[in-house]
Amino acid sequence: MTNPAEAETLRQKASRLLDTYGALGDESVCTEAMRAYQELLAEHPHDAGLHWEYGRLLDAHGRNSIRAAVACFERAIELDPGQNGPHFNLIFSRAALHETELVVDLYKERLAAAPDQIREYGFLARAYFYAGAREEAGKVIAAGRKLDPDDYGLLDLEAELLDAAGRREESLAIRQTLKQRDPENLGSWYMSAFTLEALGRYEEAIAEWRYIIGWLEAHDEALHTQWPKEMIAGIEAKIAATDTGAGGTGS
Amino acid sequence: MNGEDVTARMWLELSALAPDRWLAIRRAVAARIAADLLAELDRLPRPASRLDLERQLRAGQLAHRKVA
Repeated sequence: MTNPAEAETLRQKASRLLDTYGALGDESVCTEAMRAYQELLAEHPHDAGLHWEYGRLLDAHGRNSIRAAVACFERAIELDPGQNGPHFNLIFSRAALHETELVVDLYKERLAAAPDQIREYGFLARAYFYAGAREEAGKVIAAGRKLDPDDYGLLDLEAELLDAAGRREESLAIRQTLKQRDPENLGSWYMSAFTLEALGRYEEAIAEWRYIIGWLEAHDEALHTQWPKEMIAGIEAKIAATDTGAGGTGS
Repeated sequence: MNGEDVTARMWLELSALAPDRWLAIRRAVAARIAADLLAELDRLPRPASRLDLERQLRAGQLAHRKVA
């Protein structure tokens, strides 16, 4: 008796593996499917259908990887409830999966159980923020700041919220306060750089990136200066394009 | 002086005036703040149903697969 898998073409095999992986999520099937699609794409680099199917495979694989990450963060929280980091990762990963409702409900329950823990306001506000629910996020931040008006995490999130709402000058003012309060935390320099660039204040944005690079180099973190350098190059390209545009209008 | 400054000052003075009862006061106030907040959040419509979106996405991919 002939095995149907032996008679199929590589294209048919790839499609079958994609289908199986989508249904069962078996990673060994995904690995086999990836190899098949990579081989097919090497032979047919202009086949739109192949690119589409391979993209679907990678998308499904990415989602399954994020689901595995969610399980890791949940386990980390279970093992060490005092850590803040895994909560933020959990909220971010759930948002990437479009499952913000789950974390909104989770952190509402946690806040109800521990209303005097300021970090719970931060978790819930971020869960709403990543759900695109800025009004709710703002209400949670305001409530948390009734309890602790100077909480660093809530101020940081408020700056992000203001930036997302287009209230960039107000966001920058909070960032300035945060930089003074904790000069070792680069977060506000990164965020200020993005905000200043969005405002078209390119030279100031570059100055922020240069501060970040200087700090990283001084702390033996030169590995992480590549991205800030790329950001500076991108902004300089924008400045050059603006100058060229301005110079070209009169000719 | 804005509302946040007043709140910060009030907390500071309370903690100085009643150090022995400070934690109990803070817990009681926090319980009230959180209860009011959660009640208000429950009155608002829920954010767009992202879970539904995800399910639609998966169903859509299956539908596309069948068409293809």
